[in-house]
Amino acid sequence: VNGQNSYDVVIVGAGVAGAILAWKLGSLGCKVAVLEAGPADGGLAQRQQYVASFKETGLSYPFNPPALKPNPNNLDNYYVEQPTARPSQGPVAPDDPSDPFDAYNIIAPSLLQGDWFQTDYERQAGGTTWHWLGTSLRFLPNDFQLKTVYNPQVAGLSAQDWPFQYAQIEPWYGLAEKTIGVSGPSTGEDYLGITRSTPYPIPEIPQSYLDQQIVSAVQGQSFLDLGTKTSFPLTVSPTPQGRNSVQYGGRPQCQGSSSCIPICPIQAKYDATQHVQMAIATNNVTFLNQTVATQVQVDTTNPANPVSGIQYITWTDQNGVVTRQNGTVTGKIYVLAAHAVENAKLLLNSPWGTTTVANSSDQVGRNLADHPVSLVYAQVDKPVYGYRGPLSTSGIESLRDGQFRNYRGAFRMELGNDGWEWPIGDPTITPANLLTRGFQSAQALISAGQTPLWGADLASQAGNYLTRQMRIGCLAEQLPDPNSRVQLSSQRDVLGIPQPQMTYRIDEYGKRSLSASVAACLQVFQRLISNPVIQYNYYDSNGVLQIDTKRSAPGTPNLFVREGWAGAGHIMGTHRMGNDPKSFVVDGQQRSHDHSNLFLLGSGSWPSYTTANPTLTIAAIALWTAATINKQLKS
Amino acid sequence: MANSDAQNFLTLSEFLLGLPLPGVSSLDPDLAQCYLALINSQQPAPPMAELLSTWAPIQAAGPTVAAVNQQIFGQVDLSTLAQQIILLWYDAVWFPTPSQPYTNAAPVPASEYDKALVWTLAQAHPAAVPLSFGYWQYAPQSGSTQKGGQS
Repeated sequence: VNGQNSYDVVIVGAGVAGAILAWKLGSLGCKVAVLEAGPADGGLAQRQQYVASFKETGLSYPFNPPALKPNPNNLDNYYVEQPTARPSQGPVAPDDPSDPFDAYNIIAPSLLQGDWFQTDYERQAGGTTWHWLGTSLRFLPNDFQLKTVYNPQVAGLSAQDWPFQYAQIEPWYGLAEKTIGVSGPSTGEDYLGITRSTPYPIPEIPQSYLDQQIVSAVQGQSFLDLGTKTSFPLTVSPTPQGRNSVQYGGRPQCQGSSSCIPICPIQAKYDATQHVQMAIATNNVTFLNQTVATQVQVDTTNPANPVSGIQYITWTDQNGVVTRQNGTVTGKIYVLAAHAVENAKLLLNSPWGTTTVANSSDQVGRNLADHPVSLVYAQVDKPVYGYRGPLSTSGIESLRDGQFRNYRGAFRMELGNDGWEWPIGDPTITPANLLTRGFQSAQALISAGQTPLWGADLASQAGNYLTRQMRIGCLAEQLPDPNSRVQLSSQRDVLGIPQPQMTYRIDEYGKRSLSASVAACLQVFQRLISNPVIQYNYYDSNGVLQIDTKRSAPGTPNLFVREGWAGAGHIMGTHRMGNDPKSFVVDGQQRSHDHSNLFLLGSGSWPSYTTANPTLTIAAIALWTAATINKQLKS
Repeated sequence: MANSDAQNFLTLSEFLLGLPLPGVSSLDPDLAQCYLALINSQQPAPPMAELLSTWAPIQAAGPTVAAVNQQIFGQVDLSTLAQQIILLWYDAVWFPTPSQPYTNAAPVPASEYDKALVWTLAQAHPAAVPLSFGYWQYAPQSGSTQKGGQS
């Protein structure tokens, strides 16, 4: 490999974008090298290790992530947080009269100045799809033209259109659904302008019993947007999922293991290791595993400034003894598919003249976004039986578009089948809460003349509570913010590479979206609870859950609003696409404006963030880019 | 470890948990042995011997809620351990401080995870254990749930 111009295409990253691209190009006869920072796909043994790890730790991500980190026991340290301590998420009060949903505000003023980025990622073959939920929604037609249709301008931020429209990406969505294996309704979607030229390749996953209770509860209900005085139906839709309703793609039918995050034990849920293996099977793709790209080199003697190679470090780790070997891989075309954080880190670590590679626009690393999530959860009146089946099988998608997007972000409502796992870590916490009568010590109970709740009474109450738990997580839409960004930290990882440093905040547009989402959640839950008693709570700066006593109603709460926000795992926006080279990093074909043989893949390219989970769109654009690259190679 | 200790631990556990419960008629003696060994390996050592010696005469006399409330849940150390035992069976997790379940919780080996009673009480099934396609669209049928704690 070293120094040989032996590849047509060099790809960095074997996640969903890189693996699908490698497979597609390999199957077209292209010679491809893939640099993967973490280990190779470990197949069934690795999956079983993850299952055991989950059972022993309950964590979404394994304790010892494969790719090297400064501290292998710290799950969050692929990147450095800015500020260094996470601010308290509450207490929160209404504070913005210009927000018509201000009564439901969950974002403290300090979080508009800066907060920790809350989303992790995985560095290994298959990438973070090992742990994704599987939700495979298409974007809406208006998602691609937020500026043209709604032109939001909020607190100094504004929107950008995509350089293509829904009609252009639609065929690639269909191909991506076939490639991943998306289960969806035979009738397709019936909301907000989505059209389809191809049916879903496999039937839909049945909606859960819990979903059906919400369907009944919100029948005929509508949500009033207080800003535009417009009503929208509260319609529950089955979620298209990268999860097998029948055998497909060599993977089995879902068996309802109820652990999609962190791991499907039988790979009924799609993950990108499938396309790693399919890429290998083409005999045209070489995976360089445990190989971290460190710098992108540019041929500055050529006026077109083509990329001339990628430097890397291949590492081994034997009982903590790390060895490394430097090298350079070359090709005709280069694709960075290491996702929004690592793509930006690699580019920012690659000098080019007076700037860094692909960064004449100064937009590399900027406009970092997530879908900040509002969590509202409840004890509803009747059993809904969570902890059973895929973690989410339905959503309320009918609030994802409307004229309101000129003053606040849209949101989608993800209905969880996972009880209170996300909000509080159940089902283990509620029994402890009941047993100790509200987390009282043995000494405190004795002093109060009480005993714990135990025996059949505890069992009865635990069962009563656990079967009535429900949560909704709403994915909120942000506007691009150039000051939310990935930069290089002065701290370095084990290999001596600067770590990415995250600077992130919730913007006003996103804040208003979150407020409105809380209002919608409360409306839904109030259809399921006859006497709702609302508690607002938050994590303080020590990560301890606290009750916001000023906002909470007296009495025993049964409806809970989490102040602050949670990460969705959707990292977006650090090398955005657009037609103007002065404002955008890549064009509509994902090609760098600065280097004709450099492509950047993944949700880092997105100029706006919409409300849909990103993986299907990442896959669609990867397939589209495979065709673009194949064409460029042949020309 | 004396067999009588294991037997006492089993009967104590069954009484603390309020057996029989819907879907749980008895506890697995092998799992009881496993949990007793796990408790006895904790540092600092929980007052297991004292708890069992307190339980033995309660058991012999025909156990009553009042006796357990007074003699076990009326003593800080014994109450804490009894709560830990209950949560161990519920969750397959050892909580050093039951009133602070987020602090230093230590799940037992993965092989015991599936036997946690909480899955039965929730009328669910252990997460990460394949079951069957489509069951989630229906309410669980009474009596068809996993027998938590039973091997």
